[in-house]
Amino acid sequence: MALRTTFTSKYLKLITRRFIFNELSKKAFFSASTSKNSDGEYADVVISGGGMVGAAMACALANNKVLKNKRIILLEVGRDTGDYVLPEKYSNRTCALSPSTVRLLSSFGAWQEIEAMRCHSVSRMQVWESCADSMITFNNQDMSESLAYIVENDVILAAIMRSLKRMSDKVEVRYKTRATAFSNIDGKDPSEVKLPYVGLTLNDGTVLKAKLLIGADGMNSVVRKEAGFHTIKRDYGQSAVVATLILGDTTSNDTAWQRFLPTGPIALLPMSNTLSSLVWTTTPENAKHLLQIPDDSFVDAVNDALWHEREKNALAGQVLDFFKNVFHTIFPGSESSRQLPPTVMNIEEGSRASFPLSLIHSSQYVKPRVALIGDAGHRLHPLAGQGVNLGFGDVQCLNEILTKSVQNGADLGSLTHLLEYETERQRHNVPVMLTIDALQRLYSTDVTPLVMLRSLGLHTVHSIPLLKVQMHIIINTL
Amino acid sequence: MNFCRFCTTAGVRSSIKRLAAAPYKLCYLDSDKCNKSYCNSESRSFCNLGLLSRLKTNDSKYPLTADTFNSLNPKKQEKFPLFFQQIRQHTNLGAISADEKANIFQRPKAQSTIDEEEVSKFSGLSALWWDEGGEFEALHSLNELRIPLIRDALVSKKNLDQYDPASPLQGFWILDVGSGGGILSEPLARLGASVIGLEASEETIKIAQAHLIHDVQIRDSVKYIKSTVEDIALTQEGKFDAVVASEVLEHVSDAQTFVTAACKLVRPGGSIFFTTLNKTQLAYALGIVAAENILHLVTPGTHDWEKFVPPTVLQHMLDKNNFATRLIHGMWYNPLSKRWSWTKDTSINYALHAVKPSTGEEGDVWKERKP
Repeated sequence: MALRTTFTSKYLKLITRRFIFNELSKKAFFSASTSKNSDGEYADVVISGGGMVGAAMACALANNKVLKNKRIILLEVGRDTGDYVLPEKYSNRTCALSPSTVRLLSSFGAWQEIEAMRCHSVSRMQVWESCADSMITFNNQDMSESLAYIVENDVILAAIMRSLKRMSDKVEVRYKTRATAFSNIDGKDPSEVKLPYVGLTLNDGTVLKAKLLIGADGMNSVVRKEAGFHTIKRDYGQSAVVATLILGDTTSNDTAWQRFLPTGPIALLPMSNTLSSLVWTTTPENAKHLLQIPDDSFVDAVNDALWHEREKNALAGQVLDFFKNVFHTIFPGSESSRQLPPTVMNIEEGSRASFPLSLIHSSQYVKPRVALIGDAGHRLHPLAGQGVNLGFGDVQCLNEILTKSVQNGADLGSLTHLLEYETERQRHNVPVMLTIDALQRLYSTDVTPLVMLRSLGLHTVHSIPLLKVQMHIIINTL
Repeated sequence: MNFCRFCTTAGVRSSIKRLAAAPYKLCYLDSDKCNKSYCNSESRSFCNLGLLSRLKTNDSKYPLTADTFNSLNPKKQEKFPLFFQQIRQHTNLGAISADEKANIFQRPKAQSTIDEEEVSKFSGLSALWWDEGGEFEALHSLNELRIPLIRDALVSKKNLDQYDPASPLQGFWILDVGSGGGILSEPLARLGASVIGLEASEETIKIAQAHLIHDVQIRDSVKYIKSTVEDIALTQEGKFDAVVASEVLEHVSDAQTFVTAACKLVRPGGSIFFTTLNKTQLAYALGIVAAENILHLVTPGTHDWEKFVPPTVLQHMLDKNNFATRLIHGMWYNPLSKRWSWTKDTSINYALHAVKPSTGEEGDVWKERKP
């Protein structure tokens, strides 16, 4: 019923607009402008892609008082799924949301929606490896504040969409819609006269003229391709296996575990007191094998990956022990106890899945009147669970830059301002990507000198409080 | 009460709304009679009411065209016969073309329309003007300094309840002298101001219009007029909340006359803004030799050092017009980052803000008034 009313009112609005419009054109005022108007609708911002990042962008812009007079349109290929009903069963696709992402989502009420549904806080993180005894743990001083929140992707999206529906007067969401052709976009025809908008032809034939087109259409972004952005791709030759694990004997499941194996890291992210989400990066062959074996063999394989000691490097172990003693003399009391990972009892039926991993990075995030956010601009290794946080960071930054540009009366598509967004985000995203890429390479080997170096390095960071605080700050701001 | 008579005739309001969209929008330049309290509450185009009010005083100096009224809904004409009859009596000048009218009444000719053919013809040129990395790059990035300067100076005159963060300059009338392609006029309009762009070249006006036409939100709040400050000062004295002469003064042959005319246009309590080049050796070396001949930031021959005006001289000229100079800031362009920044040193580029003292009855509080 409610849906119908909104539909009717929208329709009425459309009719009135049409009517006024016809009246105007009849009198042929501004002859040129009106005839231009008839072959396209004007919009200030068009966001292509209504995924987590795209929808969050729409919410952030709609919630921005400075932009209240702007026309914002969100294009989503999928249909309107209606209100989300939280399923009993946990989904196997999850994200680790950082505190800064939580701040962004809170600003337009989506975080409150998530909390009302479900999320699980992580107050401690332990990273260790299979080749040596070194490890590092992170936690806030009294374990009271969260390092991150583990939330299912479906829940995040549903929460953002609910916030978006509340702001439906400020953002127009068009479902089952995508742009089929672009005009006036950079990188197409250099001789073409650049008109001050990007033209989008939608699959229903309507033409939109947008001052700014935001590409939030994921790793295979059409906007990125059409605008001719140069991209760097690297195939890791690895696959990620995900599953929902049922744990035994845990009192409070609030630690995220990550163990580096030579084939790739295995991570357990807590979803509830008895459930954890598994993200296991491994070789494609092993991933295929893991998907085929029966549930109990899979549970054994996970436990083995978390617990086995057969890859221990004796030499590296001895050197590390020596260094530990030295460190202990210099910084007494810096040693924190090692906790043991939980034992996996079972997995949720049918929750196993796998997908190939690759790194994609666009050399630029902006062109005149086009900006890329989220996976459209950068997709990284799921190692640190940072992918979606970088995307939400893009949203936050672009929103701030657009606010500034509106306050200066600038065109929303103005390259001068968009470049600021690019600079700021690349300064942030590129080091994160390089670090994660380097970590991935460093830990995918079992050559003795490298094992020794990395375990010493990790132990050094772990033992020197100042370094650890720095690292912590970096992780928190991600 | 100073209502124009048509504002008080309730039934006629709706037809006036229609009229408001009429092509002689520019007539607002001549209207100041209507009481703002009513017109304010409706769309800005109500300023035509001021024009209508002249009918009452039988002021035939500002004519209306008969065609406009004939094209209105006939039912409305039946309903308010007196209103339309009266209007027709005063619209016998409809046959005269805009150009002729401009000559007869010495009014600035409004370049309000541009046809489709011209739009495509001038789009290419306007793309050059609006390429942020192109020929006018320095002017585009200068907006990062001059827009906040103008915005903050004007907004400070508003009460808190008059302020709307989405359009802070709502209600202000600004004259952009030497508007060119509209690089300054459009952002000011986006902040809510009503902008009149003065430009000497008709072709440049067409270029500016070819760009403006694509921006639905502001295309009705910017008007480009082919005229000069001296001419417009004859009829529009004291009509503007702000007069902006950005990067213009250095091209003017007689700076004193120019400044006097510009000052005349500002209403009491209003502001005048200048950005220009200082007359120093350094300005010659950097502003002309380096910018024009070495770095090619500007087309060679753009600037003539002899015409540059030092800030002290400009301040003196403003003093003579009874203006109080509020601020003189230096501006520095970094050719590597291609961005402007404020600096203490005014020896190359500088910006100046001066205000006209408000007369006793005006008070210090800003009120919206249509010129």
